[in-house]
Parts: sequence; C-alpha cells; structure tokens
Amino acid sequence: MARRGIEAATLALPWPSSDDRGRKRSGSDGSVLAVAVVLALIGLVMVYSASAVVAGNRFHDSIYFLKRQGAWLAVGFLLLHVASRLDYTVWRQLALPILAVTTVLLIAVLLPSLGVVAKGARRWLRLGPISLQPAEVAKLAVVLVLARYLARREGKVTEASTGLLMPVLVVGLLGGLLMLQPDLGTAVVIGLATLGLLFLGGARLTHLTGLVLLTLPVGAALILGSSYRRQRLMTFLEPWKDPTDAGFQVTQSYLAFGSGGLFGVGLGEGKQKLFFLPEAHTDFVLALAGEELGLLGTGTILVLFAILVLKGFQIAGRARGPFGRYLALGIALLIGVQVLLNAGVVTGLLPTKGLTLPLVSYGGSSLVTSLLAIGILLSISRDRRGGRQSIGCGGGIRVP
Amino acid sequence: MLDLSPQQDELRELQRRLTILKIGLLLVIVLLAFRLWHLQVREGQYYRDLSENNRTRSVILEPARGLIYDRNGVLLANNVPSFNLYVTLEDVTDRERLIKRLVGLIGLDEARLRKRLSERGAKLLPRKLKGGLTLREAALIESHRLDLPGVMVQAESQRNYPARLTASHLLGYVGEVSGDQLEKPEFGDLHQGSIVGQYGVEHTYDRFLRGRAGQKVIEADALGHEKRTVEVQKPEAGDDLYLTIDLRLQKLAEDLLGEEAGAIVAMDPATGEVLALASRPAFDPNVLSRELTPKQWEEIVQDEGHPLTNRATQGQYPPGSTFKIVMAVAALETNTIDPTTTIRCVGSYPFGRRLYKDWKEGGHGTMVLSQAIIDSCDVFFYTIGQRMGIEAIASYANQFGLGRETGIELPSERLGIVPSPAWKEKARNEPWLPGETISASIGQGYLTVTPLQMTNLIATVGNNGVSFRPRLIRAVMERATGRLQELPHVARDRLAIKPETLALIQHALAGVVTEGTARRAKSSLVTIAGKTGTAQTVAARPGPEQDLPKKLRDHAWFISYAPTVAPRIAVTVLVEHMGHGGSAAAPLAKQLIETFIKLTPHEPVIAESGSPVGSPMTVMVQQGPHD
Repeated sequence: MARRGIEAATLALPWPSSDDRGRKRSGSDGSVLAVAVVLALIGLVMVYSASAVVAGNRFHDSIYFLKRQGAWLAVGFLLLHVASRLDYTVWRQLALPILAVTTVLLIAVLLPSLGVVAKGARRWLRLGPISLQPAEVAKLAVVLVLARYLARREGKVTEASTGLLMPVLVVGLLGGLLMLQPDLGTAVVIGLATLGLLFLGGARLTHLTGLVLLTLPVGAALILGSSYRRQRLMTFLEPWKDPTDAGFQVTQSYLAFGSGGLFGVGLGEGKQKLFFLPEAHTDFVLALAGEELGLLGTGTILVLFAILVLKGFQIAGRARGPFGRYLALGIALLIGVQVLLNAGVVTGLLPTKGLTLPLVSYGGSSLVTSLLAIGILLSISRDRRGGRQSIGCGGGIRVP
Repeated sequence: MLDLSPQQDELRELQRRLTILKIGLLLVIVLLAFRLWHLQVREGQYYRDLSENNRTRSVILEPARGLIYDRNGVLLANNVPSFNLYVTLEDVTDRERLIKRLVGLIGLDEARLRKRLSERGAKLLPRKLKGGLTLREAALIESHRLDLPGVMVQAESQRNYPARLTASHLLGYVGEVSGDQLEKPEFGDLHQGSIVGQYGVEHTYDRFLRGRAGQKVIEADALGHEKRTVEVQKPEAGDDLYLTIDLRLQKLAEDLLGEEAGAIVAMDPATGEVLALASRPAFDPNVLSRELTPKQWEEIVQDEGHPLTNRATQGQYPPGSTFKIVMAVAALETNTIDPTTTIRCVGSYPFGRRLYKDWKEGGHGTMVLSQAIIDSCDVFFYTIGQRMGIEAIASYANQFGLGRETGIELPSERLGIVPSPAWKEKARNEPWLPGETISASIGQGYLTVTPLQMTNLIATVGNNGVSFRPRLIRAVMERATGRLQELPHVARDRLAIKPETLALIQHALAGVVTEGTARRAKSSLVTIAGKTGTAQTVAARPGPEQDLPKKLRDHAWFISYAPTVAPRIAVTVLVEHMGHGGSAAAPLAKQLIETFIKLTPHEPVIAESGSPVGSPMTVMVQQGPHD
C-alpha cells in the first residue's frame, strides 16, 4: 500500500537526503521555539514575582521557587532539544511502553506508601529530592497512543464499535485512575483532547455526541458524590455568597484581575499575591499576570498560546505521515485545551480544578512534559512535505 | 503515480474538520478575551476598590515551647497563658489617636510605642505592641475595641519558670528573636516576634524547644477585628528536654550559698552528668522572659552582684591551693620528686629578693608529698614549682582541662588562664618573671579557673584519670514521634598519668578530709576526698583578714568527690570573699554529698560506660500537659 510505503520509507530513512525530491528535510519551526521560550521566560518572571515574598517568609530565600523553576526550565529545554533532533517516529514504537509505564505510575501514586498527599490529593511520587506528577506524563501518553492508533486505522474510526472502543478504553482507564487521586482537571484535559483528536480523525459526530452524553451522568455522579466537588460547583455558581471560604480563590482572583486594569500595577507590585491569592505562582499565575501586567499582559499571553496552537495545527498539516499529523494535532490540542481550561478557571468561567498554565506556572513535571511535547512538535516540523503547505493542496505526494 | 484519492479525501475531510475546530476554539478565545476585558477594564474599578478593602488578614500562631524537666521528671519550665497586644497597621486610620488611646488606657510607654509603630514590616501582618497584659488591661482593650481599629488582643503562651530563681543560670530565659539573630540561617524558620531562648539551655537547645509556628487566615471586619476564621494551619509544639539536674540537689546547693556570692557544681564523675550547677546571686527568669523596660534592663545589668553571670561557668577565680593537685601530679610525672622526697618547711621560702610565706607561721617542718597535700604546705609546692618550671606546670594544667572549654552546653563559657611565658608575652608583652612561677605553684598570680573546670578536674582524679564532657541534657522527648531520644554519649579522655601517681593523690585527698585542712568535711555517712583552697584577691594586704572590707577578702574553695573508692559524685564549692576553704567551703560540700547519698542510697556504683540501673529515667516517661 502506498501509505505504508511512505511510512516504511520514513522509518528506513529518518534523515532523507536533499536530492530526495519533494521530501526536503528542513530546519525546525523557529517561531514555535521562539514562542515557547518567551512564554517560559514570562513564567519565570511571574513565578519569581508571585513567590518572592512567600518564599522569603517561609524559606528565608526569596529566590527559592525561582531557582527551582530555573532548574526545571534547563532540564525541559534540554529534553526539548533532544526531542527536536530525534526522529519523531520513535515515539510510535514507544507509545505503548510509555502507556504501560504511565499506568504503573498512576497506580503507584495511589499507594499510601509511595504517593505524597498535598492539599487533599495524592498526586506526587517522591523520588529523592524531586517529586514527579504522573498525571503530566499521562497527558503525553494518551496523545502518543491516540496518534499511533489513528494513524494505523486511518479511515476506520467511523465504525463505532471497533473504531472508538480502544481510545475510549484507554482514556477511560487513565481518567479513572486520575479521578482516584483525585485529579479532575487533568482527566478533563485528557478527555477533551481525546474528543478533539477523534473528531479530527474522522469519527462520526453522532458517535462523539453519544460519547459525551454517556460521560455526562458519570460526571454528574462524581460531582454530586464528592462533597468537595459539589462545593466547588456551588462556589462557582455563587462565588460571592461566601467569599472567605471556598469562593476565596476565585474572588481573590477577580480582585487581582480587576486591580490590574489595562496596563497593570507594575511587575512585582501586586498585592494579592502576598496573602490573598493562594497558588499565585502555580494555578493562578494568570491572575497575578492580570494584576501586575494588566489586560495587556494577559492578552499577550493568550495570543502567544494561540500562535503556539495554530503553529501546531500548521505543522500537522505539513507532516508527511498520518502519525506525525495526529501527534502534532494532539500536542496542539493538549496545550490549547489546558490553557483554555486554566484561563476559564482563573477568570471564574469554570469551576476550580487545579490545573497549571502550561509553560508559565511553577511546577517541574508540567514544565518538563510541556517542553518535551514542543520538542516533538519541532521534530515533526522538520520532516515536512515540500510544495504547498496546507492539507489537501499538497498535490503530488510522490512515492518511490 | 498511484491513485491516492482515498487519502486525498481523508485529508480534505481533516482540513474541513480542523477548520470547524479552529472556529470553535476562536469562539472560546473571544469569550475569554471578553471575560478578561470585563474583569480588568469594564468592572476593573469595582474590583480595584474591593481589593483596597481586602479584609483578609494572616495571623501567626505561635507554637507552644517545649517543656523542661529535671532528671526525675520535675517540671522546671512550662508555658502559661498570657494576653498580648497586637496592631495591624493596614487597619489603623489615625495613628496619633491610637497612640493617645493606648497610652491613656493601659499606660503604654509612648516613645516605645511610637518606635514600634514606625518599625519596618508588613502592614498587613499584626505586630506585637506589648506582651503579658494583665486581665484588667486585656478587658479594657476589648471593651474599647470600637475605638481601636486594627488593635487586637491574642491569648498566647508565656514562658514560666515555677521554681523562680532556682537554676536560673542553667535554664536561662527566653525573649523575642533579635534582628541580628533573624539574619542567621539557624533562625531561618522564625519571624519577627518569635520567642527564642536567649540564655542557658533555653538558648543552647532552642532548636529542640522552639517548635514550629502555624498560621491563621482571618476575615477582618471594617475595624480590622476578627470576624471569622478562614483557614488554620496549626502550630507544632517544641520538644521537651530532660536535664541531668536533680532539682533537690540544685535547691540545696543554692540554699547552701544563701546570700553569699559563689557557685556550687555537683557532677557524676562516671558520666559527666551535671547534678547541680548553682550560681548566686541569681535572677528571676520569669522577669527576664517578659518584656523589660530599658530601665529594668539597666538595673539588672548594672547590679554590682552581677546576677546574670553564671559563676560556675563564667566566673574566673585563682584556684588557690586546690591547684596543688595539678602540681603534685606534675612533680611525680616529670620525676621532679618521688613519693619519698622530703622538703623542709620553715614557714617561708626565700626567692630573689622576696620572701614567699607559708600560710602557717613557723612552718610545717619536714614532709613528703602526701603530707604536704594533706596540710596544704605552701613551701613544699613553692620548692617543687621552682624545680619544675612554669612550662611543665602549664602543660599539666592544660591536660587537666584548665585554660580550655569544658564543652558544657551553656553559652559563653569562660576559659580561665593558664599562664606561661608565651601567654605573658602575647597578652601583656612582658617577659615571664621567675617569681611568678612561685605564685602559680600555689594557684595564685595570673592563674584563673572556673568552678566547672575544677569540678571536671577533681572528677577526673576520682575517676582514675578518665574525664567526660560535662553534660546537662539526658534526653529529648520528640513531639513528632512521641519518642524519648537519649542524646549521644559524650566523648571522653584518658589522661596519660601513671596509676600509682593517681593512687597517691587519691590517698592524700582522702587524708585532707580525715586529718588535714578539710576536717570539717568529714562525714559519718560516706568517705570523702577533697582539697581546700583559699584564693587571694589582692596580693598585698594591709592587715589581718577579718579587718578587711568584705570585697577584699579571700575566696573559699573546696573541690571533692565521694565515696573515695568508685566515686558517685564530685562537688566543687566556691564562695566569694568568705576566707578559708576549710571553714567556709568544705562544710557546704559535705552537706551536699550527704544529702546526695541519702537521696540515692540504692543507686549502684556506676560502671564506666553505662547509665545507672533503675535510674530515674523511668519516671520521665510520664508526660505532663504542655501548658
């Protein structure tokens, strides 16, 4: 088959020579890297601004969090570099092993002897001086597995029983394990990214709608069955009713955004981060950006993410094989969905969930996996088809 | 070229769906952008106003400090409730009015209050204005709270020492952490206003005792008063300490000193555990642990009796005749004399152009070393000192731990001075005079020691040359684990002295009590060995001792251990300006030793390494309430 032929050629010749007509190997997409670097640097500055006072009080070291974030950035960009140099098709072989490892990690984190409890959830695995968040790895694992699956079964996901069964099972398993931590936020990100990817992969709308309708009762049961989630939902519906308890974070977030206005109160001048805005350096970093940098700052951050996601879609369009295409789409969706959910939470459009803003928030696991994903995206961008650049207008795919 | 139309179709379908997805995402982004604009610009002013009036405040919850017990589990330091006055500057509308009201209501010192209010610090964090309010003051503040925006009274714990002046130098006191201290890493987890140990074991073991502060987030009303609690992070109490001190012996030692200035140290020679460490005059740590006015502080510091000085570890006195123990060991070990060497004492020793007198007019006659120790003959020791030279004397003094730290766990231990030509050259830039060797031979001149050093010395002699680091802490009760952690054993030292030398000295020291200068320490209960000393405070005296003003009189020393074989206790008594060691110091040591023997009659003789079987440690597992 022709498609198989392309894939085989890719495997055989990961670095095609320049005389291989129509499959010119190019440099990676510089703009994607630039956007990622800018966002990570904004994150570094905001993390410092958010945490300096708290870290100074708590650790007598105002750059406590800054140092750690800087170290994780270094690790992340190293991985990004390696991943962008690596032929991305290795991820195709690694997809299932990574899924297996992720499942083991997600089970391990639930064991009281291994998982570290913080703020009521068992989310971290302690490995010597560092702690690992398996949920972050799970996001990448799902995208890899789905890309591999969609590439193999291209055109067949329209058959409901066979086409959607595998993705639903995998995502259901990981989502279930995540809910046990509990980590609803990551489960929702994975679920939405999966839906998006299945949609792009050609799944019938009726099937997808059915899937969504099926998960609704499950979600409702989960929310009403857990008092803290119910409370979060009630808080979401009426944040001002009890501004000091559960609605505390969201209302403090409003105050932070509001104080910022158009241009912000100035970097480092934010007042909310001192005591009022909890998690100012992690989940609510966008609110702090809103206070200190104003609408200008939050707008810039959102535009940068939009560029990143659109670039991801573009890279997918130029990818030669279906695996690269779906992988790029999956990564772009993953980032896009998480940014939108995080922004939705901090602006009070969605209930509180505990999600980081990719690349910007403090947190090693999130930062490293995001940068690794962008590294993979860069690797896909190197291996693009020649000629016109959009899907469907590619015209002459030549097969030897 | 192959027919690729199925793939072309699929790609086209993907393109179509991607466009739909992009449109969907765009709609969400537009919604988000609108939301941000709404929050930041359209409603911005509203939220800005709210933010200015943000009414949540963070209050630090101070931890309960660890308790201190004696070796039998008797409480020495605990915490009692106390009312402290705080103000949150953010909520103060009119500072002048506040100052006026507080001065009027509870008589705060205006200058101090002004200074405290203008100190740097977070405006949102409450700062302490005054600790230890009386119930009446607290009630006054509470009843005027509507007049006092930003002011609050917190019930917190105050350090309390139930035995008051007893063991005050040992326990020390606590106080607010100073700015200098906060800069240091070991105080890293503290904050302004934290209570830390400033003296005694409170200082040395602060890291165990201090615990960990918690935090409370409150919602304040328009006047800055607590309306409701939002979030509480509980403080963690500190660990409890079990000292080696026996409070009964400590009290007795202090009573024995009475109104006199001086020090008494009792130690277990086989372990280095300090059983009593008394220093008089004392201070009340309860007073020092509260906030002192500068005037109160001045009074304590300028007191002529120097009550803050721990005379047992910081008082430096000439050892007088007690130093003859070192001299005797040095003379035998350097083979300057042997046990049968005789020296004739005629009551004075001519050297250079001076005549060095013996304390006994007419002299002691011809004697050997052990008799010279028993009668404390000065001329004998002048002679051997002159023969050995100052370097040998200094070397043995150093071996016995003089001139260096004993390593006890108390702050600012003093070292005393073991003089030598090198020391004099360095300290005074003068050459050593031969006559100064004669003075040093009877523990006078530049030579100074602390009572604790002498206790260590006599314990080492009684313990056959094995010495321990004096220790004050037996165990720490870890709050977190509920486990009683015994502190690691203490390094020890064996002096390179011939056993027969030590045996001779031990025999002579027993003779000092049975037939020598310390006959008044002779006990029917237990055999005691010891050495008296009388330390001159001025070299030349105008007349007979009893006619001198008290502050010029001699210090009385007695250093001892008991029983004479396998000693269980070593005791040092130093009484300032009380004259002869034999009459003023030895009887006190005897009383302390007899009481110790009566209190612990069944305690078996202790082997070199272990702690006693059936020791009072079992009592210590009993836990008192923390406050």
